[in-house]
Amino acid sequence: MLFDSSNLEAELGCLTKPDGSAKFTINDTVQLCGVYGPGEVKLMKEIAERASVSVVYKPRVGLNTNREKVFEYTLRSILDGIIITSLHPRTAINVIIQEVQNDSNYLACSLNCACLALLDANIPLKYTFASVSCALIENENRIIYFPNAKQEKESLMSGTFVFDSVDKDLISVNTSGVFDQDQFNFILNNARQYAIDKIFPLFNKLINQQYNKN
Amino acid sequence: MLESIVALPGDEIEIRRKEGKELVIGPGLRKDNQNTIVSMKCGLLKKKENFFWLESHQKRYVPSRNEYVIGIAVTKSAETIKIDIGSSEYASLSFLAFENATKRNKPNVEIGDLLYCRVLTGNKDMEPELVCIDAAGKASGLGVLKDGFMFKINLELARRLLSGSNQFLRELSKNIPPFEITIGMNGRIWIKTSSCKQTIFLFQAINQYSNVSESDTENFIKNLLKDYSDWE
Repeated sequence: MLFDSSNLEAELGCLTKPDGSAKFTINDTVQLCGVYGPGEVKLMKEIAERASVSVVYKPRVGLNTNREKVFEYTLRSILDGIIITSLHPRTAINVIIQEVQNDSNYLACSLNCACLALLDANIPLKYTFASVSCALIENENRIIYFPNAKQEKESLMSGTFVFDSVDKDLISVNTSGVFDQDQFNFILNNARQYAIDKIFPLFNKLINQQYNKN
Repeated sequence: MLESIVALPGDEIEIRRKEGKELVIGPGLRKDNQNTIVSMKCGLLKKKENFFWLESHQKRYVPSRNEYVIGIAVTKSAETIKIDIGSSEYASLSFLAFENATKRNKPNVEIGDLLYCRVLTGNKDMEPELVCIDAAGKASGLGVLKDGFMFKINLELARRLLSGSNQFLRELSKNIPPFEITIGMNGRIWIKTSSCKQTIFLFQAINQYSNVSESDTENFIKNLLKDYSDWE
């Protein structure tokens, strides 16, 4: 029933200039993320009792459109809840995501990439988080993880789920398509299992490599 | 020792408490609502007596009290100098916080000068404050760093080089011509040598050392010195 041939790859600290950076690959989607912080804050953005988190998404070509703006807003609201902002008042934490290749799944890819970059920058977090996007094909009742654009179009529903590392609870969800409660639960539970089986172990492996090298 | 435990944010750290001993948790750990100890960064869990902390590879400096740092003078006003120490905001250094300084006799600090200072207040809610004197009012090595060459390394390497058990600089200095070195906890190193060649050599040696484990230090230095004799 489950079908999975996704290629996940990740790399930590691939940029030298930012305080933390990561590269994440899902099939043909590649994103680079750099994190600066806790750093100097613009007077307008300064918050007296916590850090201000900002997210910038850079598309591969052209300028930011509304699509990117909405996307930045989604990311920011997720990250803002996960970062322990009260520990660094009057500072800024800037997350910059550069699209390198885009073949759908960009929300999941960006989130995983941002998580790794935040870990690399050692920003205080409540927990790590992993994101999975999947599509439900109706007539076969099967799930495709990280569908490409064509599969996504043909599917009954598709969604991106974000889970935390402690209770494996849902943090955020973004869906499109028509579905009922059972179908949602079915896809949610499978996505959660996928995050536990594939993505969190990948993060653990990377961090362990980083710290056991010395 | 707990040498090999790598914690990720949100991991619960189980520490068996000894009776009658207070537990002290340091960087990277916090207590959550249920009174358990939880990590909030990734790093190696370290322990010394009843102190627990996470050793992590951070690049950004967050000032804390009594740490020695290297700063760059950015702006000057009548009473204070603003110093860039690599943290989120500039630190302030009073003109009176130098050896033998009075209202009339101000120390000679120019914009762009490097200063070796101690952090007096490193509170998250306040602007960091620096001094260039110790408790007795003596400079004891603090103050303006003249000439030389400054470069950046990661904070973890700076802490490693400064730790008492580290033999790297001790061994190195036995075998090459004398040089001056100052290491700031904010990941800045200042070196002053008699030749350009030696500066480049030290710069490369320290940068390469970040990938060398404690146990390989001896071999690493042997190889370095072999290279160094080839340079001459």
